[in-house]
Amino acid sequence: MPEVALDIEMERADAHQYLTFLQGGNLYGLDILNIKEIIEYSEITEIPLTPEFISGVINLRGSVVPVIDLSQRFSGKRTEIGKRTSIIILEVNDNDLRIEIGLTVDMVNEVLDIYPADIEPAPTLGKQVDTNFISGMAKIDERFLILLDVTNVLSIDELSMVSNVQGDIPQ
Amino acid sequence: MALIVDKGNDESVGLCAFSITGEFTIYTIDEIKQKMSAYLHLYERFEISLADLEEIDSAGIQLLLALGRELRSQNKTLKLTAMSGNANHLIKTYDVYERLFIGVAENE
Amino acid sequence: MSDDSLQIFAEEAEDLLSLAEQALLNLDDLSDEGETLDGINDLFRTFHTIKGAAGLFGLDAIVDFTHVVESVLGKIREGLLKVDEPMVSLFLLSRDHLDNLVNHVFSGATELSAELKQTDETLLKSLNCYLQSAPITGEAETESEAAPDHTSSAGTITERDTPSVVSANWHISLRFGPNVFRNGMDPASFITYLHNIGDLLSVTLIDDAIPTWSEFDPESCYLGFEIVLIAPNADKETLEDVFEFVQDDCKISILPPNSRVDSYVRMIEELPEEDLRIGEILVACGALTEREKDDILNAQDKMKDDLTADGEAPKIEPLGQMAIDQQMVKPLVVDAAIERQNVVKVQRDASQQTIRVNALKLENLVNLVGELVIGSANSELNSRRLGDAELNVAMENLLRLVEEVRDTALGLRMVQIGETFNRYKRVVREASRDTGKDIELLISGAETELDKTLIEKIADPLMHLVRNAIDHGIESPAIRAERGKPVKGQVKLEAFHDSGSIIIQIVDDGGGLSKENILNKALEKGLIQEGQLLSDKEVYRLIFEAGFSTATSISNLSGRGVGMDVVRKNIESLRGQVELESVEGKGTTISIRLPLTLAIIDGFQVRVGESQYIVPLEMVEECLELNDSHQGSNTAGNYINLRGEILPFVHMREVFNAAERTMAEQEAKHRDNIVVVKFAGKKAGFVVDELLGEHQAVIKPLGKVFQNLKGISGTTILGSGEVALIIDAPEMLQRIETSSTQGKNSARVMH
Repeated sequence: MPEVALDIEMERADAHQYLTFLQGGNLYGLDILNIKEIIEYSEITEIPLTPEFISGVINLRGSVVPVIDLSQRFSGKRTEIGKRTSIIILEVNDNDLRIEIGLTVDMVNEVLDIYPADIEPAPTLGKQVDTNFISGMAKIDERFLILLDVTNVLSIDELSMVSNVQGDIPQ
Repeated sequence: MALIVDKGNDESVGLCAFSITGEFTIYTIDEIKQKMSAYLHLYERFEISLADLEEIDSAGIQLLLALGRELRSQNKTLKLTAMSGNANHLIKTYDVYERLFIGVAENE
Repeated sequence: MSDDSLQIFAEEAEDLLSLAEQALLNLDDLSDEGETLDGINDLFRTFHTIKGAAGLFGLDAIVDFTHVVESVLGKIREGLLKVDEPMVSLFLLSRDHLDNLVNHVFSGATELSAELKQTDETLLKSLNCYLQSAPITGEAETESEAAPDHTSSAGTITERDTPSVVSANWHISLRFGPNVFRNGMDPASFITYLHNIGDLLSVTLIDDAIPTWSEFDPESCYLGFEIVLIAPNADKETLEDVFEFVQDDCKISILPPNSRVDSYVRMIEELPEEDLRIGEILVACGALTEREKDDILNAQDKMKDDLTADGEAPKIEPLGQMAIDQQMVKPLVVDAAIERQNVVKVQRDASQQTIRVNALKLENLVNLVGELVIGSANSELNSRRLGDAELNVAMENLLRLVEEVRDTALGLRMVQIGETFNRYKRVVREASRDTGKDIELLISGAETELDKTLIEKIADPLMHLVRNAIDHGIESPAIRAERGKPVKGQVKLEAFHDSGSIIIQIVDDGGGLSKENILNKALEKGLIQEGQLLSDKEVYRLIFEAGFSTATSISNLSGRGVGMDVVRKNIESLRGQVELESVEGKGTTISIRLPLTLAIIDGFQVRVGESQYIVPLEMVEECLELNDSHQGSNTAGNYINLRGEILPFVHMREVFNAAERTMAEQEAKHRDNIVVVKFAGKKAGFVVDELLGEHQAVIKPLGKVFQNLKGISGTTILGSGEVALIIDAPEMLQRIETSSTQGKNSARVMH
């Protein structure tokens, strides 16, 4: 009987696709649903009086997008800009608004299919990465992949708690 | 939306069963027509189940009518085997139930 | 029903309900009969349209409710009811209820909530009371008398001597246009709606137009219908209204009961299907008897034969002409019918003077125009270098045109503030009633325009301020009389332009604010210190500090937790300022200053450290290089002597924590430059590293991530692709002023 091209609905829950990347020696994954694009590291304009982990903003084809240094956010150490440093542009929801935010990462890896069945809850990893940010862990080829929860890593409320131009202008 | 072709298709018997699920409206209609088209030449008898429809509009009914006309012109048969509430409502509003049963004998 | 069409309905309904509210509020002088009747007519038409639209989307609850409101209005129109105050209030409540119903539906709910059902019932009861006062049979009689006499422009002129068909039902023939689905419509909703008008005897779907499968475009609509409707008391206009939204794309024929055979002749002629086939369908669906069908087909054949015999192509005369030729109807009547159709058309065109535009598209356009402005400015600079006189002239013309385009594009986003002001009429009316005070709202400057986004964002703060004025400002009539004031309190909303900004003022002639109370309260809350000396302005500004409230009782109107500080923050987030002035016993004035446009500004580019900044040009007075002559006598403070004037200044390097100067710069004894900035009476200098000249900037807002950042109001992209930061000059000036007064005060204390 010849094969008929079939459009069969999966019986198991669908696998999600995750973009994996390296940061500070660890392997992380982000659900590609939130990822808009990945670009080469480019000139970042610093915004004064913002927390260290907000590197600044970039010009993304006419849009001004804030960029976050993930390394700084997690471990307080600045990302070293290398040849492979990239910026992942994410789209996050904030009260019905879609906001673009960039993440600086050491190196972007590949897109993997991960089934929900293969994801374990986050263990306590000690101080290095606050577990609020982690939505789960997956084991890929002997390595552990830390799946990041985008909404927590980039909680808009937290990010916007920036320091202001101080009330007292320096005399 | 999905156009599911029953895995139990038996080509030698010539029966092709579609199950249209999810959205069957102007937004998905193009895709559904394309998918259906692939099967029209391969089979003699067609059955459609609308049991798992979430949404249907008149574009969907129109497609079924178009399918019916096509099959009639090729002397093939079409039968509706199951309906969802909203599909039933539309078909009743338009009073086209009989038109979606083509070439099918009474007792089938 | 798709989200899109639901949204369209919700938007249309909102507009209509807003109009209805205005019309109702304008019914304040019921003794003026002419004006009252006009208002009632407007209301009737508005509710009628809402009912029609709701019907199209199958929103039965809305249709049913609106129908009753419409009926009451109908009675008033006919003179069977008189309008009075309680009726107007009932209409207002009904309008509100409809608003809630629309929102309810828009939120996706299919069932009414218990609360809505309750309100629905209560209102309907009250409305129905008005309907029972006049005999209902009387109305039916007038309508059925009208039917046979019904003249209309669609060519169904009923003539009593010539044969009419037996069928006492309406026949509706529909051939939907190909884009019906694409336009978000569904034929089923029209058919469903007809249930509201009568009973469907039969619905026959005509799918003759569906082409072969390979040619069949599933997104186009090929459907037609022949419908027989039992509705002896309906009128043609009602039925025509059902199809209002598709009448431009679709062929529609509506034949009243007992129409003349000729009408059917004409209809059959116009339908695309073969005559015989249509004839059979009409018999099958009960519109015609077999005999009638045969008669019609024979008549048609005869007509065709007659004409072709003369060697001419068969021509079917317009029914109106035929009727006149056979002297069945006087020409005047026919003309009148045709003219009425034209008039209706004109009216429809005039009302289409506004057009709905998707907000994102408009934003896109403004962005593009901004880029266009920058691009053309660059081109002009470059062309100047070439020194070609003709080219220069051409470029200048181009530049001018581009600026006009820019202004027009920005103008698209400008909306008159009057729309927003009008909303408060209702607030004042109800608040007056609730508080027992007599307050009138005066509006001036309603035509003043501002950016649409601004209007949306200013509405809430304004509302709060108006409520404050009503609640805390205006005194009760008793107190006012005691104070020798007119019993009627006044709240004025004023808007006008002033040097590149728009000013909105809320003025009340109420009790004003007591400086002493404010100071005491501020001391209590720890906002100021004992013995601190403040100017009047500063005292009033304390009200806008967080944690401050002079209301001794928390009233229902102003609510809790929404303080003046929130109002201030809202306004400042729009790059605006708010100030308060008051005279105890006389009244209070609150002034809000907002920038005219959010999108493009003319700026002055400067460099501070490694970063580029833009200062809004309209606030720049002058720029100069700092040199020794500028040193003021008071070296302790940051003041310079600007041609005898004392000017406070600030080092932007320090403000923005810029990196240290490079060795090279230090060695070159780099001179600082100072940009003198002036805004709303305040003046100061910003010390920067380098002045880079004028630059037109498309403002790219910083987004929520930076929403608490003070001192920077946005960003822009320079020609180099670099991002420059736009300095929030008013904010900076404010802070300079605050810190310099603090400095002054501390200096005073020290003595």
